[in-house]
Amino acid sequence: MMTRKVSKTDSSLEDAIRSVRSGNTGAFEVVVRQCERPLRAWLAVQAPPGVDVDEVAQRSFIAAFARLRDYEPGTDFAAWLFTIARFQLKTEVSRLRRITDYHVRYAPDLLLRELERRSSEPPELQQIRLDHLQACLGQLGEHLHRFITWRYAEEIPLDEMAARSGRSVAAVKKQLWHLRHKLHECVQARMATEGEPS
Amino acid sequence: MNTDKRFIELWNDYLEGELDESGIAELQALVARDERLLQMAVDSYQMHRLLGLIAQDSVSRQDAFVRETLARLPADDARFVHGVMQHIPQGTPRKGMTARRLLTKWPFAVAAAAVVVSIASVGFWRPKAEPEIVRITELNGAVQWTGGGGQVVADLHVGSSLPGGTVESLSADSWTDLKFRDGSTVTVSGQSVLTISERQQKELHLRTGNLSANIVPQPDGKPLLIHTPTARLEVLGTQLNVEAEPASTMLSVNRGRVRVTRLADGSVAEVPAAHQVVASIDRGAELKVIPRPRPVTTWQSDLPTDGLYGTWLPKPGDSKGSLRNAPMLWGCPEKPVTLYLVSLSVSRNRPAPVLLTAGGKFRIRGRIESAGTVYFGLTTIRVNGGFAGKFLVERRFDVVQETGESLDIELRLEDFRPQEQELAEKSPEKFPASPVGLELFDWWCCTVNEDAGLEITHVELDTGISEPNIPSDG
Repeated sequence: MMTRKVSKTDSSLEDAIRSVRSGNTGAFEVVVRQCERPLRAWLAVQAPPGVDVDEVAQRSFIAAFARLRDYEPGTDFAAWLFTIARFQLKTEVSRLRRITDYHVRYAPDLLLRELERRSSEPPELQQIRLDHLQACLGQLGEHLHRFITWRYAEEIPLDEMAARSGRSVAAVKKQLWHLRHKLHECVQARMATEGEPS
Repeated sequence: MNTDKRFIELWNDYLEGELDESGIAELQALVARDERLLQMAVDSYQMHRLLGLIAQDSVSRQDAFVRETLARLPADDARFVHGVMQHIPQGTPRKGMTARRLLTKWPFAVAAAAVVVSIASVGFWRPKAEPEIVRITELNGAVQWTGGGGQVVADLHVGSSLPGGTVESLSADSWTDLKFRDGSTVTVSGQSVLTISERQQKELHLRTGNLSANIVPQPDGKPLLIHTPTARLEVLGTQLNVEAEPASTMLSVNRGRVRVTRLADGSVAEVPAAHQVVASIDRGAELKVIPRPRPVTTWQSDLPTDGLYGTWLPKPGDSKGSLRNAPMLWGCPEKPVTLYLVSLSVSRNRPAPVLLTAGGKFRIRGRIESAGTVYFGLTTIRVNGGFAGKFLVERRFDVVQETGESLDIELRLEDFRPQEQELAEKSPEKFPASPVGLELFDWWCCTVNEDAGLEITHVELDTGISEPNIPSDG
């Protein structure tokens, strides 16, 4: 399940935070477990190529742990954590940009700028998108879903995917493009009509 | 080829990591000219990342992430202490109740502990969806519960009802009492992991650590089952203690009878009252039921073997050496306390328990470099199993010589007082006011916040009573 959302009404999270602030470091595990999925989801879509999402997520948790005294109990912990994560991501992207040939070798500059622009969207949007995406994946026919499984779950090479499906590598690439596009449209449509999944 | 087609080609290659520098430059030029293509590119990229995230997601992936993150947290006091205690050698699971247990509710840390307890009692999360199997009747130290949905609850408190799930006693000082609806009780202590379920019958999975159980008669054909890494125990109604390690399970039956199946070869043994058995993973070892050894009333340290905490300083040309105190941070971040600690196991590699009897006294030899107050302490267990509390006494040493002074003192058992006075007053039957009549689990001494350069060369328990009066179960 990737649907757990963090909200300021989550009393178990607040209890854990209070416990950590009282010296029970072990209770921070509750914080990490509850927040890591939304945080990684947000980072995954905001981070440009070359950024290690798990590394930035871990750094964000460590920074949050170190500054936990600054968090005001009863307010929105997720928002506070995402503010830290945004700063951590910015730091990492700045580091990458200083690599001389980063733009040439890894990421077109415009992609970075657009990602940065979108990072101002509310972080919880990505979790909602993720939930809708799971629903959209469930609607895909098996003949299409297998491409997603091969590419993302099994991570098999494109030429093997081509051999398995009896198509050319170029056709497989095109198929993946269409699938991503179709899933994006599905998610957008669900966002427009349903809003946040129940 | 039109622009869109070319863009899709380049973009697909980009996502697959197959686009070279000239291709990236071409892609950059395309999206620079057409905002629509840029938006398509970023939509596709984000979808690509979300699909990867969903594909990778699993419980084990999350566990690994959580584990790695926690391991990277800055070492505050509590974490440091926990880390230290995790690395204190443990000869048997009984050693789980060692140095850190001795240190809990230290007078200087009472305030911090009280804060944690009071917080735990406010706004406690209570599972509602599943039926209650057990209720927490006593709790001390770091104990957490993981339910069927995987949610970890760290703030447990007395009175909490729990459905099926896993109770973890996280550190050497922690323990909890659980009570089933039929009145059967289980105590988990030290570093232990116990999964509880009750469907057709009660089932406990003790992955590691130790438990004491007092089981009321169970329905015909539905014995309580205890699973350990090496054995399966069938319990109809009895009082027993179990210590589970990866390679062996030690069962001691105080009342009733327990049927043991050794998993390695399927061999079975019936263990009657006042007997014990070790179910080893080693097929060559016999599954032999033996009477519980009679306790002894004297004990002499073997420092290289018994040392749980401290720095071993061998003496060149001599088989003897000394165990020097080592620092251990303790307490909440606001009021950290550094203990300079030496800790010894008493039960390690000794088959017979050591009984503390009236008139018993410790003789301690060593050396101290500077003046200070030294706290001497004991961890005890009841004769028939179960944590029985900690006891301590302090002595002030004035050191005149710059090079330090030899230390040779005697401490009578009667001088020791309960470290957890509140528990002794609240439940004297469970946490007696005196260590006399209890079994000695481990021994320790320390100074607080000042390194007095304490070195221990010899610890001995002696008594004038040769035939102990063993207390009855209860």
